[in-house]
Amino acid sequence: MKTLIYTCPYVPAEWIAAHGLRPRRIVCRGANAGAMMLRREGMCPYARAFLHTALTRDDADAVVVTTLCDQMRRTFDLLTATSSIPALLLNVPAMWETTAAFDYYVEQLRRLGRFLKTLGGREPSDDHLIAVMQHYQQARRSILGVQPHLSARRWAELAEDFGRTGPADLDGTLGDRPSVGIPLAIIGGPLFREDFDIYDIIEDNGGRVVFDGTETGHRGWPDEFDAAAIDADPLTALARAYFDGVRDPSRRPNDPLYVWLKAGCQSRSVRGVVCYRHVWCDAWHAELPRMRERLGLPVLDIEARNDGAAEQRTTGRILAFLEMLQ
Amino acid sequence: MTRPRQITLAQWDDRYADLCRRGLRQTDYGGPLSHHVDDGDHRLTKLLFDDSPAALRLWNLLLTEEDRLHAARQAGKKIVGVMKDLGTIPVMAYALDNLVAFYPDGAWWIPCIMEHSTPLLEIADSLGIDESFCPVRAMLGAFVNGEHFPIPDLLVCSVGAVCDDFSAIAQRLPDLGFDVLWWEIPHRRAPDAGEPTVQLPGNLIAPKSQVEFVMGELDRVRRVLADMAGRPLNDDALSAGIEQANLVRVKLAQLRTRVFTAEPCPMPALEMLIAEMLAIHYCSDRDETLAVLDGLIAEVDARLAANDYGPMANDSPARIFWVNPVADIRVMNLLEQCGGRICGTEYLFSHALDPIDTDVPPLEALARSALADLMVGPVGDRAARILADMERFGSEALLISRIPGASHCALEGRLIADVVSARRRIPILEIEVPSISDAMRPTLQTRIEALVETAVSRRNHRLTRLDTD
Repeated sequence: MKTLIYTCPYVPAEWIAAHGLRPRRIVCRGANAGAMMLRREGMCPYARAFLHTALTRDDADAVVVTTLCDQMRRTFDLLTATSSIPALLLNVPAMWETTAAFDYYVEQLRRLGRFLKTLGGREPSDDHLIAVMQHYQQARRSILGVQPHLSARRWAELAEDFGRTGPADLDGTLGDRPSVGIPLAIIGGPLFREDFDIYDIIEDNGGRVVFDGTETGHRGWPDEFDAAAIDADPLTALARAYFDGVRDPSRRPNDPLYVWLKAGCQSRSVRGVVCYRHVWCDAWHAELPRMRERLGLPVLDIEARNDGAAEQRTTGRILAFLEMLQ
Repeated sequence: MTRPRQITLAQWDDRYADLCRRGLRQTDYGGPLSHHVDDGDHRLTKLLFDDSPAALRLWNLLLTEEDRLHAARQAGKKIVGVMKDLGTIPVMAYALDNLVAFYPDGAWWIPCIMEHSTPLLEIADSLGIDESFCPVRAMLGAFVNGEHFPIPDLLVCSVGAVCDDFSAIAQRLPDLGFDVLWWEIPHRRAPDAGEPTVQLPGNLIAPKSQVEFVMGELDRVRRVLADMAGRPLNDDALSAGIEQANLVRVKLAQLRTRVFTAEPCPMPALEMLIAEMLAIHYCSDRDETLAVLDGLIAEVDARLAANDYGPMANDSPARIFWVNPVADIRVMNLLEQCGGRICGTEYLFSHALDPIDTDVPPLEALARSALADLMVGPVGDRAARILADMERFGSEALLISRIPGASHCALEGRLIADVVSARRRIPILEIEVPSISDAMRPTLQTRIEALVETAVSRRNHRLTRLDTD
C-alpha cells in the first residue's frame, strides 16, 4: 500500500484511505527545520521542516501540499523543482461563504482522487467511502472522549498517532490528566513534535490545557459528518465537514475561527490562552490582537523559533503567565 | 537643445522657473516639484530626477493623487479601494464614469516618500503588525489616521493565492470598521492531462475551470460595483473599459520597449518605475495617465532622434533586469550611480502591462488577465517570464530585490535565481531594500557595483573573444 504524506488539515484522510492508499499526516520535527539549506530570512520553519520531511522520508510515495499559506505554496514549488516524488498542490479556497468556493473545494477533492488513481488508488464506491468516513469519525469521537482523562501531551500524541496511522484501538489508554491547575487553552499553528514539551511545561507548573486549538490538535479536525447528507452524497458531506469544520485564520473572513475558539474557551472555563505560532507566520501573528479582543482573555504569545534557546525562554514566560493568572 | 540629465530637486526649481519663462504648459495639478516637500514628501530632496517636462508631469501626477481622490468625492463620485489584485478590478471600476478606483496598497511607499515623518508604521505596530510584516503594513496606519487617502466607499480585496502578510493585514480592516468585499483568486496551476485549457495573456495557460471560477468571482464584484454606481456595468461598458486599459498598456509597452532596448538609456530607472505603476489604476485619472505616457514617449523619441541623449550617454552601463519593486525608490538612482541601467522589469504586476484579450466576452477576458498574475501561479512561471523578457531586452544581469517581511520573498528569489541560472550564465544578485535604505547604502552600493562590474567584465570578455575568433 502506498503512503501519501501531508500536513494540512484540509486534506481529508478518509478520501485517501477510501482510495486504498495510506494517509499519513505529518507532525514535523523542528530538528529538521534547520537541516536543509533553506534557513533563510523569512522562511517559515514549519514549511522548511515539512519540505525536509517530504524530501527525505523513505516511506513517502507521494506528497500533498495545500495553498493554505503562501509559504507552503512556494514550498511546493521548491519540492517539485528538487524532487521527482509525485506531488499535488491542493487549492483550498480562502473564502468559505460562497457556494462557488465550496464547489471549488469539492472539485479539488475530485482532482485529488484522480491523483490518487495515478498512484494506484481505486475510486471508492459511495458505500465504501461512507464506511471509511464512519470508521474515522468513530475514532475521532473516541479520541475526543478520552481527552478529559489525559494530560494534554498524551492527548496530542494520540491525535498525532491518529493522523499518522489512522484509527486505532484506544483500550488500555490510561488517564494521566492533572486534577488541578489553571485552565488554559493553547491556540495556534501546527506544533513541532519536540514542542509537545510545551504541554508539559504548562501542566508541570500549575496549568491545565483544557482546550487544544492548535492545528496539530483539535482545531485541525473536521466537524462531525452530516448524517442526513452522508448517504445522498458522501463526498460532499466529507468536503463540508472539512471545509467548514477546520477553522483556519487564513479564511476570509475568518470569524468562524473566533466563534469556535470562544465557544471552546467558554465551555471549558478557560482563564488564559497560550498562542503558539511560528516565526514568520503572518496569519497567526496578525491575529494576536484580535484574539485578545475577541476572546476577552489574557493571551501569551509564544513565537516558536526552533533555535535551541527557546525552551528556557518559553518556560520562563509560561511560568510568569501562570503566576499572573493565579 | 540642452543635453538631458538627472538633476536634484533644487536644480529642478531653477529648471522649472526656466521652463515657465519659456512657456511651459501646465496641467491643473502642475507646479514645481519642491512644493510636494511642503506636504511632507521629504524623500524627494534625496532623489535625482529626469529633467524633462514629461518627467515633471509624471511626478506631479503621482504626488497629487490624494487631492484628485478628494476632488472626485467632492464631485459626487464614489471611491473604490482596490486591494491586492494589482490591475484587474480598476478596469471594471473605471468602466463606470462615476467611480474612481485606487490601491490603498500604494501606502507602502508613504514611509519612504515621507521619510517616516508620518506615524503609519507606528500605528501598525500599535495594532500588532510589526516590522516582521511587509512595509504594506503602512496601509493599516493610513486607514486608521485617515490622512493619506479618503476612506473608500467600497473596499475590494482579492484573497486566496496572495501574500500572507497582505491578506493578514487586510483581515484587520473589518474590525477597524472598514468592510471588505473579498473575492477569491485561486492558485493558477498547470492543466491536468486532458483538461480543457485557456490561453492567458503573458504566454501562460490555465485550466478552463479556473477561468470560469474567476469569472464567477468577478461577476460578484461587478454586481456590487454596479449597485454602488447606480447604473448597470454591462458587457458593453466593460468592453469599453478594457479598450481604455489596453490603450494605457500599449503605450506603456511602447515606452518600455524603446527605453529598455535603446543604447544609451533614454529615460532613468526611477521615472520608468513610476510610469509602470500607472498601469495598475492610472493614478486615479485614466485620461491624464494616457497624456503623461504620451509625453514620456515623445520625450524618449526626441532623445532617440537627437542621438545625443540620456543621463548616461557617455557610459556603457550594465543592463540589469530588476525583479520586485523597491520599498525605497532612491535605490533606483543608486543603480545608475553604480553604473547600471534598467533593461527589463518584473515589478509584481506584469499582468497589468499585458493587453487584455478583446476576442472573448469581457468578463472572461478580465478573468484571464487576473489569472495571468505571476504572483498567483508557480514561481517557475514567473521565472520563465523573466527569462523571456531578459532575452527580449538584452539584459546582462538579474537583480532580485527582496521586500522586507514579504511572505513571497522568503523563497521565490532563490527559486527564480535557480531557474534563470540554469538557462543563462549571467550574474545574479539578491538584495533587500527597506523603506529607507540610507543606513544600508554603502552595503547596497558595494553589492550592486559588484554585480555591475561582473556583468560588464563578462560583456567585455565576450567581445574580446569575438574579436579573437
